[in-house]
Amino acid sequence: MEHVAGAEEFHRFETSKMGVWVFLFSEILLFGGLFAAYAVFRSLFFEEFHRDHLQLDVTLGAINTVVLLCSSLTVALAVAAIQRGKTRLLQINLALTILLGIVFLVNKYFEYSAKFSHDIFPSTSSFFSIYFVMTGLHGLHVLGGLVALGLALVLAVRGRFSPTNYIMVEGTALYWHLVDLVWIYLFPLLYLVA
Amino acid sequence: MADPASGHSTQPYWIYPAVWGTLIVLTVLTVLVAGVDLGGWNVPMAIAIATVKAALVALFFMHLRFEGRWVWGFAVFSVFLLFPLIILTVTDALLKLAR
Repeated sequence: MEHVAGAEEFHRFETSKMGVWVFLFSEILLFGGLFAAYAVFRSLFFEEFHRDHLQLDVTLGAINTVVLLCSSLTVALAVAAIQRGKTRLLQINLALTILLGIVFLVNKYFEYSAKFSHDIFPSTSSFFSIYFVMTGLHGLHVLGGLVALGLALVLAVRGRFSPTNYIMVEGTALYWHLVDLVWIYLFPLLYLVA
Repeated sequence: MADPASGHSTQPYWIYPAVWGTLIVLTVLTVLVAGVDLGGWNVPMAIAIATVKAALVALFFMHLRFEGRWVWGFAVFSVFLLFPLIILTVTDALLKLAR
């Protein structure tokens, strides 16, 4: 019985994980369409793109990149922890990931308000419409990820996870890595080489 | 690599900080390379470095290296859908809109 229950649980885990991956690929195509728009606008309005992108704060963008990379580390460690039954470590790493995600959004808040106070809006130019839409959509994804991570943390604190029951953590972590992946491409394309 | 109790593949802890360190170094590299004028090669270089970073995150953080042919099949499919999508759209735009 124990043996059969283990195999069924493993199968459910693998199936759920597959579902998450399919969702992630749909997200990749979503952002992929926006990257295609970026590519088109960049080829058509090259000088304007270059001139406008210089107004972006590269330092803040770089800091945000590092923040997200650190958050990917912590969420990956959270999964590694629960795989080994280390509930405390799971909780700490989930909390750190959430903290770093909040730092990212706070930075974005400063960036956006600085732009708005300089009269720079999505309607200002095609570069800035691309910039605001892509980073805005990405920011919304970060927010959604924080909600999921928050839920995972609450469940973790209540002791709901174990080495044979942590698919919710794994799925949330996979989503969070995707959010980091999108930013890995957004940062150079918007801030560095536009 | 598979944990005997649960059957899930685990990686030793040190892998994670090691990959993270590599990602940080590659980020620094991205910024430095962007500061050098490479003519038309700046964008391909930026994308190339970003792709290495993405591969590291996918393989090690997302455990893609342990996944079976279904996940890999979807991964390859979406990437091979993405590249023509972007390239053909840009080509189309340049041919039709840039008069």
